Amino acid sequence: MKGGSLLTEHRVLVQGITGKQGQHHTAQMLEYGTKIVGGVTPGKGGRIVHGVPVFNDVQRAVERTGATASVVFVPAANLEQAVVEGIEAGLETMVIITERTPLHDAMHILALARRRGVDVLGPNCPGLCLVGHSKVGIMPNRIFREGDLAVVSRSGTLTYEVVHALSSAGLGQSVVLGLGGDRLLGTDMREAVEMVLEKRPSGVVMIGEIGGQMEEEASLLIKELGVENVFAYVAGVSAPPARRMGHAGAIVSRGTGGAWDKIQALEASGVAVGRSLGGLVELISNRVSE
Amino acid sequence: MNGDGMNLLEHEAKDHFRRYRISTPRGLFHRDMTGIAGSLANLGFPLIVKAQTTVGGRGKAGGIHTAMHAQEALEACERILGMHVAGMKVHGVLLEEMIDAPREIYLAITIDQPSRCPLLLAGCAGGMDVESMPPQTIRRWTLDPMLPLSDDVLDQASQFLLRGGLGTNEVRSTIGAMWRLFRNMDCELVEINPLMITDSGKAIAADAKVSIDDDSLFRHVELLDRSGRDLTDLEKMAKERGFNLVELPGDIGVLANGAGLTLAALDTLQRYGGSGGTFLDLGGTDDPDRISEALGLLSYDLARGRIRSLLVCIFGGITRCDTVADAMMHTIIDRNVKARTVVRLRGNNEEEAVQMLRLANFNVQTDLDEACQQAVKVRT
Repeated sequence: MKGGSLLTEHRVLVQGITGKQGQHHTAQMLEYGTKIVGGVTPGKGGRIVHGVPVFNDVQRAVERTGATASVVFVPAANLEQAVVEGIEAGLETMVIITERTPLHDAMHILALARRRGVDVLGPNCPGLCLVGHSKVGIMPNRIFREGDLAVVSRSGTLTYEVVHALSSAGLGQSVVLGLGGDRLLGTDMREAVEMVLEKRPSGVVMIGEIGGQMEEEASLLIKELGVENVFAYVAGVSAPPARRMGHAGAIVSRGTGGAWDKIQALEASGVAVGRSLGGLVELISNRVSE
Repeated sequence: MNGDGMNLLEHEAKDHFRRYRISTPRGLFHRDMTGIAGSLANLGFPLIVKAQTTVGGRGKAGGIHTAMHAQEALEACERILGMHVAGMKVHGVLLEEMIDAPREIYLAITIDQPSRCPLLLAGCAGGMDVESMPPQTIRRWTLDPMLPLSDDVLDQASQFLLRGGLGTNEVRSTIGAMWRLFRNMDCELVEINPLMITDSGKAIAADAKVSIDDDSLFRHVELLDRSGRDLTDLEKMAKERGFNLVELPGDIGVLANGAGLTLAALDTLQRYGGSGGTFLDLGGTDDPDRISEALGLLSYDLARGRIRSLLVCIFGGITRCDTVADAMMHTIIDRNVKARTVVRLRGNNEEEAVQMLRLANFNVQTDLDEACQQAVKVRT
């Protein structure tokens, strides 16, 4: 199944490990217990960052460390090259943190990854956490609590907010997937839901936001499979309708994309939608905790 | 609240079209009334006066006028230059010759989210209401972003539109040119609505919509000065400092970290009868100077009275709560500003931060709903 390798524990490389973000989050991931086996920064091979050896290219890093995944912090202008390198080197999974990736680069990267069977999370994502085992990305270490819920989200801080609130309410998680805030994503909401269901969670929590059709498509899957205990929150109910130029957007989206379009689609598939963040946690607490 | 990319004005888009050998009507652009009389004489009548805007809907707003003589054209120019379309000011007028053609079609290349691929759209009829045409009159082809545009797609699309009639080859080469422009210029959208097919089979783009991905502008530095021309002064100030700030119609300023959390805060305000006036996404920073700078922008908005209270809503991950607290204590000193500010903190170093701010007499909350109710209440 597509995305299957995202939810397994990997030996992980950090691409862009010598940058400020790369260094900081390498330390955080190590602290969480993630197997960070190497880093890559062209021209800085031979260095050591937080005890992790740095290589000049992904190929060599994979040969020396047996890495099967990478988390990517390189700047947007160099992202396409970095991802192509990772794919060529045979990585199974890539988690792309990089923000502001040009859309055409994202199309190239994602098309190549699909062709080669590489699972991509992101770009512009906070990463994923297999709670209690491994965290790949930039989510804060201390928000999680071990348990059986699965969380899939298009947002960053909003995910932390919800996960923190769940943990405080005693509702633990087994997997938290941050899909990313960009329009083009390696793993979308529908694929993520399908993937986390393999873990047999006690409930699935979806955090969506206005724009695109991902929540609508995920709701079709939920209906088709008859999944129970799915909860959602959709941000952007108060946002004014997007300013649009041209007709192509309207032709393609026909009645999807707004917060209410999404909420209606989700509710029609039996998903319990929280109208506020507090309301969401309460809904889950009432249905799942017993 | 990301924009939809940088929309070029019609006349700029048509400059690109001509560079890629897509035919356009003869036309002249004017920023203001200077020299318009000369252009009218040059083009002859009837001609079309078209508002140049970066938003759609100008036709329905009265921004397009067909003029039969000079006096009428001058009046139309004067009126249109003073217009706003969807709240945005008109950036000029394009004067264009009239094209008479028996057939109008619709063509667009855009980016399709579910397939993560370019999408070609072809419609048998163009016009202002193309999105409400019956589905069978519009066909779509998902294109491979890694490959050149295939002859098959070109054949199918031109055949679908013109059934091998006069102009089939011209439509074919127009689609090819749109594809090259789409790829070379990092476009989110290249749209021709309508493409006129004349009696002699020529294809002429009567309108042009080109939207360029903002995040690709580092590759197109010649376009940088065009990004942000529809921003307000405050939005420009924020952009220069690297912040994503959007002015909204309400009167409560919201500073939050992360777009999703900011949206959630705005939604929550609305539940309690408030309404966001400024949206500022701090992004992922733990630099106290950056946070002070962001607070400064909103304090300025508060001081000039466009917003009446301020909600700071932070989840401490990369951004630590105590860094925010520290920045607030150093930036918000004025008693009146402080009285109209509500802070809501959760996450890393929450306890220290809450304590620091309470001691400094800030209105501090940890619950989002409570903070939003307070932000509505402290408006003066």
